[in-house]
Amino acid sequence: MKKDYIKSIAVLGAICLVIAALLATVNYFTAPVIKENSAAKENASLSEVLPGSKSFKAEKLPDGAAESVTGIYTDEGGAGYAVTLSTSSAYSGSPMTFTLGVDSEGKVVGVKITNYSETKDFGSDYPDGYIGADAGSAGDVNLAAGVTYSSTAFREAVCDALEAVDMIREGRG
Amino acid sequence: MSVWKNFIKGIIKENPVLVLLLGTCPTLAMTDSVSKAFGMGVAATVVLICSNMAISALRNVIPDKVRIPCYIVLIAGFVTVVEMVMHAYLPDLYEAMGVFLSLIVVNCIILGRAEMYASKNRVFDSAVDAVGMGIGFTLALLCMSTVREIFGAGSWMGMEIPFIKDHTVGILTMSPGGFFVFGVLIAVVNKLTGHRKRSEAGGCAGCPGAALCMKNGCSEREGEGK
Repeated sequence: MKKDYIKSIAVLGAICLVIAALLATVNYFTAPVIKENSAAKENASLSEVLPGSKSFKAEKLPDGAAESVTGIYTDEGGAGYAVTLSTSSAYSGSPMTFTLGVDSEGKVVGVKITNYSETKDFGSDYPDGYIGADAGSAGDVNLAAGVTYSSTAFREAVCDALEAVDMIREGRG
Repeated sequence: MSVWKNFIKGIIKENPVLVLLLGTCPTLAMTDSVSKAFGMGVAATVVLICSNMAISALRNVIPDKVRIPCYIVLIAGFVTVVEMVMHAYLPDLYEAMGVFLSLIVVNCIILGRAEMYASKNRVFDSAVDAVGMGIGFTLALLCMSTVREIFGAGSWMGMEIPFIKDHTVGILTMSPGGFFVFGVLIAVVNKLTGHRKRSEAGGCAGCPGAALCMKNGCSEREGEGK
């Protein structure tokens, strides 16, 4: 009886170890490619969210900026700001990342989702509801039925981004 | 059973989707476009081949008490490998498939073949069974998605079809349309395979998997239940 238990534990443990080694090997080769793809997508999204932009300069994140704000870039032509964000909550466990274009008056002019872990076609159009919103009105945009979890996280991240942009515009932080 | 019969049974006679009615969730969710259906079919086939071969190779080592956890660890490992490879090299398809790619772990076809076939047969036979079942699954998804995309969206693999694109039946790309096409395809396959006659026989003999199942003692279990 005892021998059976030991054998069961040993076999299951050995299988777990072999599978872990296999995953580590595959991850070693695929992780750099995935990172490279994400970076390329993020760079392309900067000019996409801010019409009329020329070239971008990375800003230092202001003190007190929320964790969801991962980068702020200023357009050197004065068109506004592009903010990269990563939400900490999504059903699948993998964060949703997106880039927000904010004009020089602090209004949202473009949104580009760069990683959406939920199934692509389900409710992925709700970000368009934020176009034209500013720090005062972004919190009032309606959530999307069926994807309330993701759309709540999205709304919070947009508010964080607009607050961070306001800090930079006003020279705070 | 000859290698050819073992291979061909998964395509029509024991088609996992249209005869055994396994893997219904990904079938309905992924068949609104042909490219997504093809991606799901290929991903599930790769996982099925790897898991069937691994489980068959380890069938004399894995103790009966922990066989299901062992199968799940192996299947989850192979699904994660496929997921990482697709994320790196097919990012658009990876995004389009979303959570359904990870959900291959709980696909009944894969666990079903592991328990019903791979755990009782040689590695080569298990691989042939997996290839047949995988192709059967992929073909079923392709048939269903072709009907739904052409008549529901007026395109095939994203390429617009003249005339049809202006006269689409939108409901076919939605869930009710999915169920409708699924039902029609099941009826067609039942007609082709003569499944109705077998069903009239009743009990285990009417099951599409009877040939294999009875060999593994299903008839004895049926007798116990009476």
